Formats: sequence, C-alpha cells, structure tokens
Amino acid sequence: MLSDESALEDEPASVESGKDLFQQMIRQSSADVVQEGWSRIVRFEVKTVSEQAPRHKIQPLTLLPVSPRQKPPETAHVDPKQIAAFITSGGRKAVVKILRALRDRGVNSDAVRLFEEALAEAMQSTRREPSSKNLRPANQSDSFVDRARRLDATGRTDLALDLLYDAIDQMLREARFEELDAIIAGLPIAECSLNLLLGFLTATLPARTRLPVRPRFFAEVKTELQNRGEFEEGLLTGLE
Amino acid sequence: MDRVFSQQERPLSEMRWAAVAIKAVNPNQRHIGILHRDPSSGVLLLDLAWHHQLRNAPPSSKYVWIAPDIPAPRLRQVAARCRQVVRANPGAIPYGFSPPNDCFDEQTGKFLLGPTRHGLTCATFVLAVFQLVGLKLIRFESWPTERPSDCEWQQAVISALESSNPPASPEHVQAIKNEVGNVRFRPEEVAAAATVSPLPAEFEICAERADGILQRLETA
Repeated sequence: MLSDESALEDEPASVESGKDLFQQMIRQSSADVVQEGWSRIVRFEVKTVSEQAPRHKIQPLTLLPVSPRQKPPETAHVDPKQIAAFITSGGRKAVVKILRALRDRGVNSDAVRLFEEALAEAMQSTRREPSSKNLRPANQSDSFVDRARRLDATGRTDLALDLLYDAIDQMLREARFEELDAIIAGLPIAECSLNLLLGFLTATLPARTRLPVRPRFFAEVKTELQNRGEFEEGLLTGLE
Repeated sequence: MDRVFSQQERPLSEMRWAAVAIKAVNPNQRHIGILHRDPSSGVLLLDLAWHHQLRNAPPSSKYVWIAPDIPAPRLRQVAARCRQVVRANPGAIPYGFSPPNDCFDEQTGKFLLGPTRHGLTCATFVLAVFQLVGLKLIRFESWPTERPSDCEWQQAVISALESSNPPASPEHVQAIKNEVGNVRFRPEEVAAAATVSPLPAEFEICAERADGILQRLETA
C-alpha cells in the first residue's frame, strides 16, 4: 500500500495500451491476494476524494458498483484523473476486480475497453505529472495511515485494521524497517483511537527488534490510554 | 468448566471478536481453529484443516468454543490478524510439526508461516496466530517432549501425507520426518489453555483441563 505517486513511480515507464496495462495490473495483483474488503475501501476512498476534491469529481454511478451484489455499470466513462486519484497498489487490486466484474457479467467489450483505456491514460498522465511538490519521504506511507484513520473515524474500524495490517506487513516483507520506524515516530498518538493504536503495536510486533522507535511508542501509547481512561489490565500484555 | 460453551448453550453471535473452537473428529482425534468475527461475513472459523488447506468458513454446529480471558480490543486484533493471515497465505500453509513460536524472521522480515517453515498442525497454527499478535496461550517450555503416543501420531500423519490425494511432495515428507519427536501440542490441550487466566498456561493445568474439554466434546 504505497501512495499513488510512489506506486506509479515503481512501475516500468511505458504502457503501450490499455490491454498491456491490464496485464501489468494482473501481474502485480495476484487474484489470490485480492482482499474482499478492498471493494468497500475503494468505494469509500472514491466517495471521500469526491467530497474533498471537487475538481476531481468522481462519478459515483460509474465507480461505486464494485460489490458483487450491485448491478455493474453499463458504461465506463471515467475521467483518467479520477482514477489516478485512487490508484494505489490496493486500488489496483480493486481495479482488477472491477474489470473482472465487468467481464464476468457480460458488459459489452467496448465498455471494458473504454475503462482500460481510461486507466492507461490515467497512468500515463500521472507519470507526466509527478505530484512530488509536497511529497516528503514519509508521505509514501502517510497515505495508508491517513486512510486508516479516515476509515476508523467513520466507523469502518475493521477495514482500517485490514489496511493497516496489509500495509505494515508489506513493509516488513520488503524489510523497509527505517521507513516504518519513521512512520511510527510521526504518528499522532493523541488523535488515534484505541483500536488503531493497538493495531500499530500488534502489526509491528514481529519486527520489534528492528524498530528503534517502537519502545518509546509503546510507552507513549500506554500513557495516552491511561490518560484517556481506556487502559485495562492485560490490554498491552505481550506488545512490549 | 468456565469459558467453554456449546453453540446450544451460547450461540456464536455472543462471541466477542475472537475465540478458540474445537470439535471431535473421531474418538482419538480432535480438531481446533480460531473463531473470528468478520465484518462482512459474520463469525468464521479459521483453521488449518490439512496440508495446504487453510480454511476460513462458517463453523459447523459441532464445535465447542472457548472464550479466552483477553480484553476485547486485543481479540479484535486477533480477528484482524486472522483476516490478514488468510489474505497472505492463500492455501499456502503446509502441514508439519514445526514449533509455533517465532514465526517471523527478524533478519529477512519474512513470515515463516509459509515455505520457509516445514509446517504446522491445527493446534500449532492456533498458537502461532495468537503468538503473532503478542498473546501467548501456553508456556511452550513447560510442555513434555517425545511422549510416545505423540510420536506415533506424528508417524501416522506422515503416512497420511504420503497417501493423500494429491500426496505431499517427497521433499516435504522428508522434511517433516526430521521433525518427528518435536513437541506436540494437542488440540484439547490448546483449547484448555484458552480457559486459563492469566495466560500463558502451564502444561500441568492444560493437561488437567483437557480432560474436561474431552468430556464436553462427548456431550456436545
């Protein structure tokens, strides 16, 4: 789960066509690891982006029907920039799912092709416009922290935890310990819920000896929870 | 026994975020897994059913469940980790007798719940997932080694792996043959551990309460 920008920058530079892009996305997002919750996360993300950035207005009727229970879109007119707004690695998985849903339900091939082309254009245009103006190194993962906090704040705590666990697990697998350490150091503890704080402590536990900041983070979380009156016996046992 | 419920006594809807569940497969074999509350699918049972068979589905009514004395917010993390384990290991956890502790390689940053460990049993899988979230159900070092009946059971598993359809690879079979004699954590002992407070549980009390678990399974 990288930021949109970093995810794109990690990829090969040229995408010849929507078909190539689709194949590329398939390779990067094995169907086996497509997470069920992503459809809901993406729908939430699209809605949030739509509300917060009117200039990138999302057309909900086009992007919302991701759930298997919902009717698939009949057309796929999507502004490339709208899609670029949510192409994270998780977003790519969701896009693969959308494309599959379109195909599985017999949506005409022109609509599928339009969708693929729009995605290809989005990827290309984002590459041409690297939005690194305000991009600090830690921002690569700030995005997952921010998203998790947004999901949690709107009552989708389990989705927030799914996002958090996947993002941290990926960083650990890639041995990005310093980056993760920086993220932990920058976490606004007072603004995070009990569940998110426990999520950070739990997800980072396997790499505790590789994260120098973590002991201080643990102590600060304990103090914060005590101050909030949310601390109870056994709550942090084993998370040191 | 406190904290142990049949589904008739207490439906799974009353379960907090996560619990341990056990059932009798036959008079000599029990099976154990982790119940977890999934936000979209309700209560699911995550269990290592057999070699490369990680299941995540609604449990049958035959399971007896145990509500461990763990704060609810921590159990919510267990549930989150269960979902993550499913996503990260689609059918990829082999069956074997590897120990359930330290399932993460701190040097490489890679999870060892996969090809770099030979495999887990249903019971060590439960222990490993709890351990992964910082919750030790048992005190590993208190468990007896090389109980004769455990070695027999391990040999029987190897035979079953060799004759299953499809059979386990010769390399895998050879690898776990080398693990015969490893400590065995029996399903009923792990279930019994979940009744103990505070955790982690010592072998002695687990062995004692395991008998009670077996009795409950007979009447469930």
